[in-house]
Amino acid sequence: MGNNIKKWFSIGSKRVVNESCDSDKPCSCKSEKTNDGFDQVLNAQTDRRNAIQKLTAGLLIGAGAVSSSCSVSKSDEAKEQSDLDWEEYFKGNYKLMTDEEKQNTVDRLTRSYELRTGKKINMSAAGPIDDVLYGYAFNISKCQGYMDCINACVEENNQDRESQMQYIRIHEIEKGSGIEFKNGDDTYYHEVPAANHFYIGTQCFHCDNPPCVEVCPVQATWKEKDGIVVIDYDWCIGCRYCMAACPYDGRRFNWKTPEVPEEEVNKNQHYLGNRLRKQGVMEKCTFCIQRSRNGKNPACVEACPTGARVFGNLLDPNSDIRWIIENKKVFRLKEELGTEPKFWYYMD
Amino acid sequence: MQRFLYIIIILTTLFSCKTEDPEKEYGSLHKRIEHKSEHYKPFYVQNNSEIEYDTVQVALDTVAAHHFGIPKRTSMVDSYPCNKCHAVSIDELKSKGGNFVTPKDKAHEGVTAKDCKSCHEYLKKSHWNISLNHADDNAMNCATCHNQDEMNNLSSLTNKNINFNNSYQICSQCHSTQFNEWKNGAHGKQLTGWGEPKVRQTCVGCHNPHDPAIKHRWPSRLNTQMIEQRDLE
Repeated sequence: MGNNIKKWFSIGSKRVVNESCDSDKPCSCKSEKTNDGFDQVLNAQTDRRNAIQKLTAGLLIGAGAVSSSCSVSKSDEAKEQSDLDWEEYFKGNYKLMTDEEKQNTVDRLTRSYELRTGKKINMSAAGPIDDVLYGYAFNISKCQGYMDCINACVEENNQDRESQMQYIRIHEIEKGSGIEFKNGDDTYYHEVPAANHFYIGTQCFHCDNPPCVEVCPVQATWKEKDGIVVIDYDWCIGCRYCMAACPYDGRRFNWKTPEVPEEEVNKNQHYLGNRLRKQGVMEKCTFCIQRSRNGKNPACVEACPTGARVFGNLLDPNSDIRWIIENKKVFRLKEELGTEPKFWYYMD
Repeated sequence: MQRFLYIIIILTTLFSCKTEDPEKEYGSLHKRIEHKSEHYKPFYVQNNSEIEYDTVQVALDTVAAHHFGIPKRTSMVDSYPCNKCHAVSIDELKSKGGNFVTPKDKAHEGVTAKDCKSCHEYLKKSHWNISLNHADDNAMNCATCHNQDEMNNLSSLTNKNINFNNSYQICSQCHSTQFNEWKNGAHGKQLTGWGEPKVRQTCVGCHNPHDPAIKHRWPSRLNTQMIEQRDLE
């Protein structure tokens, strides 16, 4: 019944459907639209005010694009660039795209980068692997607080160098004071491990029941089939609701345009992962989606010199992570919230 | 009118109970994992790493088989095989004033010119700088792991030969807890990735066998911005 109702954003159709459901029970009706690309934007029902707003914005961009693509004085490359910009502007939500549309947008972004910098990148749109649910375990007895993982993460995921925005935090907490992050220090700089202290790392926990996804007003973030919570940076409007909703301080916001020196850019990218971001969008750990969907471990796991970090497939009964969960004493943070993080801590 | 109401109520109940998300029917993450892994098919990745490893199954435990490879060690040991230099036993060497090659051996029979470096490069430096910082004198000395009569292999506590590639068998003689965790994946490190075939770092890949403790050092980064922001607050 919801399929005929069209709104600007896919969330719009969900709201309409929700109203017709029993409000006491969790509503489960089909809420996603099937339109995509131009259809998602242009073939949608809206009110007059919104339509005029969108048209004005579209016209401004469009006028610019048209003027440069039809101009005789502009070079071919500039025209191609504005063609690409035009199509990118009107693309739909990545979540709703078909595989072909996903590949097209990745190709456009790759070409666009090549036109701008003259360098080639390798961007992937690889989907989840069947029979895979990623999980992570962190040994708090082993972590020594060297922060090698943070360095590896920053380099792998093309994070802004200047603002030192990082996905991973390593907290130094005094032994005996419990796991109270307010007593912890994540900016320590002294020889580690410090006497009588332990180290505990946090990042996005890829909850099975992620509150950040619930609150996103435009469905720019969602949980993939393999359990990774991802963000479409081109669909995110930067409202930071998800940042407020996350109980684990897992999400980061780009207050400025991230700057990565050209020679340090990791060219092995994924649309939902480490491709270069822009100002005003959310980002976070994606379990290095560009690596994990290739069978590799995330960069932090590979960089850890103590083996405190374990990554694996929860559906593989013989995997390391399964043995840890089933045989070690494990805990997760704020379990009482029911978020079901797929990130377990354990001790020797 | 009443019948109409009943129908509405029944319909509402029916529709509100219908769960669209199949993942929700399990109730908890653990139940879902348990159920979905019943028909698990392994995911194989191509090995693009430069790590040379044995795919030989490491299984000392007959109850649970542990299929994973471990990196080869012999190719990483300088000037292996050891008997290229250690032609005679240490005792014999000592009696001859410490020279590996006795005057009689200086004829270099059967040695070709390209082999010179195999001894001479290490002749002076050798590995005399090794000092043992592993357990105390009562528990360990060089001979706990090395047999002077059979330098190419390690030696177990009962003087059985153990290949350098299987050095974990030496460590596990004392460190049985760590060994149990290592073979199951709670200690140590995966090398090639999470997929099959699994390759795991060995004990000596992280711990120097002569000085196994992980050292204190400085963190590899200082977050000046975070300190600045915190001080502003």
